[in-house]
Amino acid sequence: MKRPLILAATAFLAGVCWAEMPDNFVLIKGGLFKNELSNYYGKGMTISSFYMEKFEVTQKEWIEVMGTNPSKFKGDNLPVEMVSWYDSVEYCNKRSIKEGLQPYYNIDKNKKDPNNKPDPEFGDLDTVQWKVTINPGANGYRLPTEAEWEYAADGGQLSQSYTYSGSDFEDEVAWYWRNSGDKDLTGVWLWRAIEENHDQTRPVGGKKPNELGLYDMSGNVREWCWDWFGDLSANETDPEGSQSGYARVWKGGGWMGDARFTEPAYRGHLAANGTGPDQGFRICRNQ
Amino acid sequence: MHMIGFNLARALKVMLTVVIAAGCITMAANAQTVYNNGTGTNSGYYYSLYSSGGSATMTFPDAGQYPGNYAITWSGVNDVVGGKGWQTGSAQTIGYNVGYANGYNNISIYGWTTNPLVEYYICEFGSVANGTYKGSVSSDGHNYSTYEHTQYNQPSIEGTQTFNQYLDNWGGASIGSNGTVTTSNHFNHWKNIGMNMGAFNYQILGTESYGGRSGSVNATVW
Repeated sequence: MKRPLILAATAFLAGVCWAEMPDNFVLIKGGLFKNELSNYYGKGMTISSFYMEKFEVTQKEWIEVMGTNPSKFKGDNLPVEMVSWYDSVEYCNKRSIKEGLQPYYNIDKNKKDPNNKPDPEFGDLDTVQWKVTINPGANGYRLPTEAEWEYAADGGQLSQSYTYSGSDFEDEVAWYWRNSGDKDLTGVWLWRAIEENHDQTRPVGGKKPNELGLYDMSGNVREWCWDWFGDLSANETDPEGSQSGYARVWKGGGWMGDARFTEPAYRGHLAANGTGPDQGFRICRNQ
Repeated sequence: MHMIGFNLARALKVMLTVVIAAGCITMAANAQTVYNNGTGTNSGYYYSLYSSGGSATMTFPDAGQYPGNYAITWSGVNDVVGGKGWQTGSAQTIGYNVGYANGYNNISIYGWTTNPLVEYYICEFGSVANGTYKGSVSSDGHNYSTYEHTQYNQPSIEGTQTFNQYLDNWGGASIGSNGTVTTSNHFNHWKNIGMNMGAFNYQILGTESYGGRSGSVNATVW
């Protein structure tokens, strides 16, 4: 008699717990960086376990929460793009509230963030400058940190030290400028050629996943991370990047750029209010 | 005797192989033809051809003797960009000779760097002048006018990005004469006036033509 009761209780508890986490999230088991090509490899950096969505946020997911669709290339199963870093954190909070979760971000649209500095080359590119802080204990949706993103893209504890996320061959795992249009392109990168070839975003999950079952970590759209673009730290657990900066980090490269920028180790950055038809994001939650 | 005979036969065989191999290399270097679009390696140099509309053909007629040689002919193209160079550039001294050229807009050392993201031109034939005039630099016996042009949230090799184009414009080179581009003079000049560069991406002696033109070029880079 005891056994069925225990089984029933376990099933009930599991049901309660899993009901909170949508199916398409993967548990990224924490630890030290295993990928030898990582910026964090051998530097005493540890990541705690967290959940990450298998796919980039799709337009369907975006519309369900935000009501409108800013994307240049339309399609339910295409990743949302033309979203700024501010749009992305706002989406996280709105989706959290919609699903009864605690919002992870405090967004103050009336206060200019003193940590938001002018770009040393181009001046004040970011004209939004909302003050955004975090609620570390909240269970709501959030952006990954740069370190979390790289850890997950590299395959976490299952890493095979691939160059791209899930492969050493870019065409196996990534949509980038050569393979995202009517036909495969050769030659040097040339925007006119890319436009005429109708390169664009592709439905999420169309390429091979990485060691953790995450799709499109290399290519399709570049993905916003929480961090300011700045120096990398060492010997830390769950680093959150610089305290201030002039741009936010993007990772993973996109359909428009060269394959080398889809390597998980590449560190991209863009002003937080910047948008583009190759700029999207992916969401996480604390374990 | 047997040994000597064997050695002679072997020596003849080796000589024959060398002659055949040399012939093959020459043929391989010359024989490649690229129609409209293509990239790859020819005689140790990176080459690339892009065209849209009309037709364009790239060959390497003298690459057996001059590994950096290429020729492009185009007809009624919206756009053609082709050239030969290096997949990863550097602050090197580049030699070139343009045997003939017509129907082009510019022939330039063209490339990109990342971190910071920069698209650059050092123009030897034609013109690339655009953006803010930033002074001039003397290099290899002539003066280049320097321009900087900022592209806000525009397409780039990294994707959508805000980045600068650095343009050193001369355009006075002579057909049939050897030319030199001491790229370090340009890169140092840019650095001295706050125009910083990053890690090198590709770097080619490129020929560009747009606007429905027809033309041809035969150029060698080294």
